[in-house]
Amino acid sequence: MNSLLKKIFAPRRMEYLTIDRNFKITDTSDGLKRFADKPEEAVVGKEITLGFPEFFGIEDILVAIQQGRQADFHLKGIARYSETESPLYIDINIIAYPDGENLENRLFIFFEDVTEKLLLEQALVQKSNEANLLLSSLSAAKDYIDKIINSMVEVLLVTTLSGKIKKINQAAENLFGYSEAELLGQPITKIVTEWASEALRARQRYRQSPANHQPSLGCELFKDVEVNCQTKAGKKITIAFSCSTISTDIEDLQNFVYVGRDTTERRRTQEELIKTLEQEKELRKLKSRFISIASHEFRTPLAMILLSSDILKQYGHKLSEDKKSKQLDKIKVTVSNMTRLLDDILTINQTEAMQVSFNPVPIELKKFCQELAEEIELATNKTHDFVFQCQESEVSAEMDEKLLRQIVTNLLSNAVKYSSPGSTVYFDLLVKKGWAIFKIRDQGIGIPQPDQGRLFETFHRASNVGNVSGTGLGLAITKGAVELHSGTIAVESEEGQGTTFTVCVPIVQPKELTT
Amino acid sequence: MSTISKKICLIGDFGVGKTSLIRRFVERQFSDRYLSTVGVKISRKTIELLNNQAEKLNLQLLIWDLEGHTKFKSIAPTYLQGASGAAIVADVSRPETIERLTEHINLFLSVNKKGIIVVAFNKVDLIAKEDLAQIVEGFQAKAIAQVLAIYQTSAKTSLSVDEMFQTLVNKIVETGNKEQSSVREL
Repeated sequence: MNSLLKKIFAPRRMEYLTIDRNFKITDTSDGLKRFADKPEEAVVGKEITLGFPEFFGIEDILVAIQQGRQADFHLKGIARYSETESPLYIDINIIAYPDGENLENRLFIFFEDVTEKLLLEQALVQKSNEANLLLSSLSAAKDYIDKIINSMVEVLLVTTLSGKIKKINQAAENLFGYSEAELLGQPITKIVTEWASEALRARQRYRQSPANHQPSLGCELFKDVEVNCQTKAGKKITIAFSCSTISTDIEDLQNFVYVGRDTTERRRTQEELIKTLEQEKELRKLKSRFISIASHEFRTPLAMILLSSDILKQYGHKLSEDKKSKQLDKIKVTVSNMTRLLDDILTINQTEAMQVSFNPVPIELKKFCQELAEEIELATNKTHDFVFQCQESEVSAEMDEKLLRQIVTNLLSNAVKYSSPGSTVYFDLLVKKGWAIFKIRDQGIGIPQPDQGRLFETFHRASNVGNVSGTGLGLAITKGAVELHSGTIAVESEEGQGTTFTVCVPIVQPKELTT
Repeated sequence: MSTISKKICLIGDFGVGKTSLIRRFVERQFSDRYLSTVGVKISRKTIELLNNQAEKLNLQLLIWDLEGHTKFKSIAPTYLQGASGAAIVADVSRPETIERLTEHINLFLSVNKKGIIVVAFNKVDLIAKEDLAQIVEGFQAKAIAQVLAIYQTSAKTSLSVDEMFQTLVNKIVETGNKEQSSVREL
């Protein structure tokens, strides 16, 4: 009953009014006022725009409809708000109808209450717009994060706990040479060839007991751990990775996120730096050793010269001519030894600075070597037996005589120096396929294995030389002289058994090598 | 004192702040709560002006707050009939609303060829100043000749809201669309 009454007494859904040629209201239905913006103005005789502002500006259209040039006009969803009542929405339809009295069309304007429909529509539009705004801000946020990730210089990888790649950034694509599509779903081992044990342990620990970590916060598993990787092209690179866990959109499900820097170049530079520092350290050690050797080598002969000159000065008048002569000879020999040492230093400096001149001349090798061996045998007071062998009747060659003398003299002197008096020094000259081969073999103390590789370095002396004097320059000078001849020098030695040096030099020097 | 009326429309995508701009201008109020507009709501604002003869003049501004454009529903041209001017509104934090400014301008001009237009880059309080310059400059390059001015507005802080409406009103009065404000006989 109540609902029926409500329906009977409820306001009508539709009202109307008519207007004349001056847009003044000529007739209205009873309930029209509730549709007006200003109800007091919605009365007969008043201009329609005073009560209904939506008619302002459409006067041309009203004229067109009245004159039959336009059939009708609709305005939908006009809202009326008041501070006290809920909003009212109306649709407006304007049509013309013939006026029997004036023989001209009258304008009928119908108002329909569409509040219910529009409120429903408002609720729907509200939800739809809110969802669209949310979507828009989510997509803007995603776009922003993607841009940040892709502008990172660091490599970024996201994997499942089992190591399947889920996301990579632009830097990773560039560095590894793979596109994102090629790596998605692939195991991380496709690019990481060797994990550092620290990284392996951290991941293992996490996989075994993820509950110990706080998944919602994410946790750092390791930081700046260098691992070996490989690019698509097969190039080996080193990346310093930091790894954390991140929560996924599925509850309790975690992923690993790796951020890494390419440290290949840095590592290489570091290794080079360490090597250079070691070399520098070694050089400093060698130089200081050389200074101590050189000062010792100079001090002894200088003391001897001083002693002889003192004897000559103080006791000269008492000494026989023979004894005076011996003292003078001592001074002469000592000075000549010192001169040789200075020559060695000078030669080594020149060799290092590539300033040694190389002047090959025709030379008969067999005679040259034989005479040189005899000279040294005499110079060393025949303390050792010298055995020179050469199967050839003569060996014509083209070599720098001065340098060749240096090579042979150094090797023969060493053979004498580092072997016991009475032992034999063998000197063989062979000719093979255009090469002259000089073999000098002794039965001396030999060279320890670790020293053999560094034997030709300047200032380097074998660890077993004991008190035998030397500068560590002879073999370096020899090697330099051999190389100027485009030749090679090799050593075979066993401690306590003896040493063999083999020098191979082309018999005739290529033209372009001569200076 | 004589009174004239002028109709202006606020046009733009949904959620760009058309209702908030009107509310700030007419009621001097602002609410953060988003309430989408359906249909159209007409607000009145009376402004006192001086005419060419330096006489006081009341301008009754009828401001049409139109339902925003969505991908499901475009703006009905019938609402734009008889408008002297329009404020075309975009949200500076949503680039797609800026991209659609030209479309809305063209729609308004297709109905009102001599209509006066101002553009409002609204919600500038959400964006850093230096970023804003970049956004606005990007649009200015493509701006249409009929656009009288571009404002960076904030209904929240009321930045440039009054200035924007005032500029629009001044130009409308100046060009004097008398045929729209005068009563015409049938």
